[in-house]
Amino acid sequence: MKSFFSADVIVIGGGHAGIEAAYVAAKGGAKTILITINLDTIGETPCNPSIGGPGKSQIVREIDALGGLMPKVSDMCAIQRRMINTKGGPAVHSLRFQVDRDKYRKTMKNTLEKVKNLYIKQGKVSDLLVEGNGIVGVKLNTGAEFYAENVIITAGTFLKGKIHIGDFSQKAGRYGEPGSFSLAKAISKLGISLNRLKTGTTPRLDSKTIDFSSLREQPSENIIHGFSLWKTPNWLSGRSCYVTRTNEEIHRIIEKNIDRSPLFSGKIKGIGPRYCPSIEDKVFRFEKDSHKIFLEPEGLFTDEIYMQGFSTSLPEDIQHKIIRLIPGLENVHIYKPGYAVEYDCIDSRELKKTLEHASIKGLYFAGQVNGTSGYEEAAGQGLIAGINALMKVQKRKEFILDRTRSYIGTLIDDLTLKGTNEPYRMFTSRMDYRMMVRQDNAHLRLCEKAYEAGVISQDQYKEYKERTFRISKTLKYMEKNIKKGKTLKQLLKTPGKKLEDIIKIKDFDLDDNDIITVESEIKYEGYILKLKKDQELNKKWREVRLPEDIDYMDINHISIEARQKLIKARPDTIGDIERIPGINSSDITGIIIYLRKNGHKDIN
Amino acid sequence: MIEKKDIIAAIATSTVGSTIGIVRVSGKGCRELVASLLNKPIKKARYSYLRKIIKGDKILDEVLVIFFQGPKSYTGEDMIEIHCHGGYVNTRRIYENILEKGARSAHRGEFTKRAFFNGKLDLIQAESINNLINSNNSILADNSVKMMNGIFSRRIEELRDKIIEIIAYLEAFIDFPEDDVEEVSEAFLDERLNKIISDIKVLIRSFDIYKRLSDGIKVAIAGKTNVGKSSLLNAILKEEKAIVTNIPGTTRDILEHQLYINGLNVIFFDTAGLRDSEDTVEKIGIKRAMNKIEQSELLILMFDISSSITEEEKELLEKTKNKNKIVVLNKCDQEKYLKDYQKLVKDVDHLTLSLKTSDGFDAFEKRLHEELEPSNFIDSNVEFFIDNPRYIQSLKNVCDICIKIIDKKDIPPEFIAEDLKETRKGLSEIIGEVYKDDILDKIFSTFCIGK
Repeated sequence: MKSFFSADVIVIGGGHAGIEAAYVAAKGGAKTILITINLDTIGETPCNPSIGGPGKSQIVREIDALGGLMPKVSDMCAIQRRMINTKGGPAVHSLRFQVDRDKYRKTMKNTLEKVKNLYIKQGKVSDLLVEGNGIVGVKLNTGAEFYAENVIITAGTFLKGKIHIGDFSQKAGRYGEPGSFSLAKAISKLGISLNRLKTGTTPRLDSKTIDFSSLREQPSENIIHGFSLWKTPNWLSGRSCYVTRTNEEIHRIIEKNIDRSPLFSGKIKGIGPRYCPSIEDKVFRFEKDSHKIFLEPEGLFTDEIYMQGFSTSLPEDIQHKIIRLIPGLENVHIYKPGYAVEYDCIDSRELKKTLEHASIKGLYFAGQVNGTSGYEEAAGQGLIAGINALMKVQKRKEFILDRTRSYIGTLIDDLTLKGTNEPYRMFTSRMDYRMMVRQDNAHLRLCEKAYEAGVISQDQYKEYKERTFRISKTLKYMEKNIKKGKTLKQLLKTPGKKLEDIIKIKDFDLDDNDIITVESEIKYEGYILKLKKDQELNKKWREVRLPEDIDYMDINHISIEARQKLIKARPDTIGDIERIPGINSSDITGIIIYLRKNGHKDIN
Repeated sequence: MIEKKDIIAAIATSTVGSTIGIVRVSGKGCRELVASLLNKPIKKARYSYLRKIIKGDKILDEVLVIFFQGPKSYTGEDMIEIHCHGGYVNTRRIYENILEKGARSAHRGEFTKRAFFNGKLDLIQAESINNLINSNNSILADNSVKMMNGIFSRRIEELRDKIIEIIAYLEAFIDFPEDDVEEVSEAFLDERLNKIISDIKVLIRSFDIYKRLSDGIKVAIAGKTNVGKSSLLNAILKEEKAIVTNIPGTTRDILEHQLYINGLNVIFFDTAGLRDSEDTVEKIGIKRAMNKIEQSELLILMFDISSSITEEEKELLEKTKNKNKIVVLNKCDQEKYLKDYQKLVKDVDHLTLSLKTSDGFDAFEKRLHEELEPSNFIDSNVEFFIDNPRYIQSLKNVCDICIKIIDKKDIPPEFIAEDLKETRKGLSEIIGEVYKDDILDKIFSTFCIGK
């Protein structure tokens, strides 16, 4: 069949990565097609409808600074809002929202529908069209062809997806939705290697059959700023979560029936995330009498309750039996059983930091298909892939975020250099410069770059400038003014002191987020200075770019193993080499000596 | 410095006077290079083959050849060892023939350097090999071997693991606020950190042993003028280095003499004769002598039993009563005041001897050797000691940061984590490793995490 459509950018998949990619590319002026298997599952949250949390809230704020959609829509749909981790300082504070699942989906879809240049298409991609070493388009299973020189694959868990519930297994990307087998085949046909991963989700419960009276309630908190700092949020009414626990009786039953779990029977080959183990895993790996479970509402217009902490792929009868032993759930009805899903992902080390494939021009990958987990990680990648496709369409320079200045930068740097053998999730501990790179200062860190790339508007840029001005003015004032023989800055450094104890906030026109920024910059000052020094210290080496045609096999003074790892990871700079697992400082010395020997211009 | 197909060669043994010489060759292609000099090929790795070295139609030598296939070799690359007959000319001409075939002469320490670059050794091990080759006594050498075998690297790794464990607790608390991860208490932190601090202090203290051994064990010889200090020293040194004379006060300054006893580096100090003097120069000398006596680890205190006991001698005995010492009653061939002296030193273990007749010298020497037993200077609990100041500086930094954390109270966990990451980096630098993703691994294996 002849094509009836050609565009600048094609996005395959309407999940969190696909949404951001399509939105930013179209908004930036590129003619964009988003192809999804089902129009109504755009923006689906197949696990719990929760956005944010440690490491993730920072990503969402960065998406906001880069003009993405997730923060705005999360704020519009949040029904439980909390700031968690407040025992630590502002560097680790994390916003976490539960969103109304249906509303989130509908809002996302409708927002995309309204974007100029963006064409949403229901269909299933069955082949990739490649000419030479570049992508030129895609083909649907109906035979229709769509042409574009930039194609972003955001296939989520759909590549050769297979779900498991006890002995039962079925080909599916998500429960009740078909997987993508021909697309997986098309990808491997291009010589791209695929790995198998696994993830899982929990049973969904019928709220009217739960006795909440005996459970600890966790109410929604009073939150001022949402994920998006561009707009004052108009909150929906709040909903509570409830906390309950497993007990030893449940653990005994799980142990007795462990051979019926596909995770333990050897049926599942994919590697699951260590930070999100199934309840079977928890019982087997840790000697604990009880594990915490959160009962979370899935929306305002549904009675479905998510069982956070109880991901399982045990057979339905066992699920039924053990869930009813949990306090509050004695008479519970299960809407949907928990299940595990196995899927293929690519080896993310084959990607450049733009998320473009190193050997196939114009082909980008973003989200879970790169081996990550989490909506936020997916959205962050989608945004970067989308911006880079846009840059390519407009013949502008690559858009790469520095790992030392952003969580998204760290995420992509880790993926492209180290790769991952389990679903990769962001944590604050992955960030090398945690005291400097926080959720409160995402805009200060990234808006300049976003504006340069043209992904935020003139008005937004102005707003960012004003924010920068307010903050630096306050910081300067606090440095210069003295009270009781100390600068105001020194006074604020006293543990327990708040900014409002020292200056009149009103006089400086600071919003609540600005206050956090000022407090952090001052309270963390000693560490920030040290980190900045560290950044500068090895800059000379770290920023040296490696020749594109470097032949690692030729460097005979580093081990063969190190050479193979370098070939796989394709580092851009000497700084990148430091982070490749299994490479040690003597290897780096060896490479530097080799480069010097070969007359590298920056090494003398 | 590093070239493609760079084959290096060196004579590994002393070229003078040895009956066997070893020539080592390392680098890709060294097997073919050496084989081109032999009458028959080298078949297998790690076997020794009897071969003839041929040049033209002339046999140069009959040798044993061993081929080590990389990475299973010292340098981690292909290596050949040729065991030939010794002597300067023979070893040298085999070596030169190898150079003629295209190898180049290795730089100083280049074999070890290659081993380091090829990941066969970590930095500590490489440095230890250097120390071993350069060590001037058997205790230092024994220690270098231990370091080379990785005992210190393992200790550093253990310390680093302990730090990583604490960081893991903190990070788990930070990154999993809604899981059942307990807050890290100050008591927990203090306990763990104090253990780390005391471990590091043991390591730092062990460096004193090294300093003592490399600087030498100090032995002072003291006594009044003309008691025979220089003669004793000469007898010990068995060579005439100190001036032996009968004029009192010639040894005004301190003479140092180095000697190996029981594998230890021992420095003898011949001090100025101690007497109440009006001579300024001599006065300074006496003051310095007293200083030296105080700094010494062993004192040889001499008395002249041919003359009567002086006030200064009594004073000296009193002043050094707590000192580890050997008391010698000299000139027993002229035992005029023997009884007086024996009374004076009756509470002290002492020896009598005559340096003139050598009577009692053997007993003295035996006693000296006992006093200089290495076990007297090295704590038997010490498995090894640090022999490089580079490590000490890093360890001190780590220790200081730990102390700082304990001193600070009520600070959020991310501050402590940041400080501890600094210590982890410090320890990794000692073994020449860079950052690894080890904290998350620890978190996942320790805590039940995951909502």
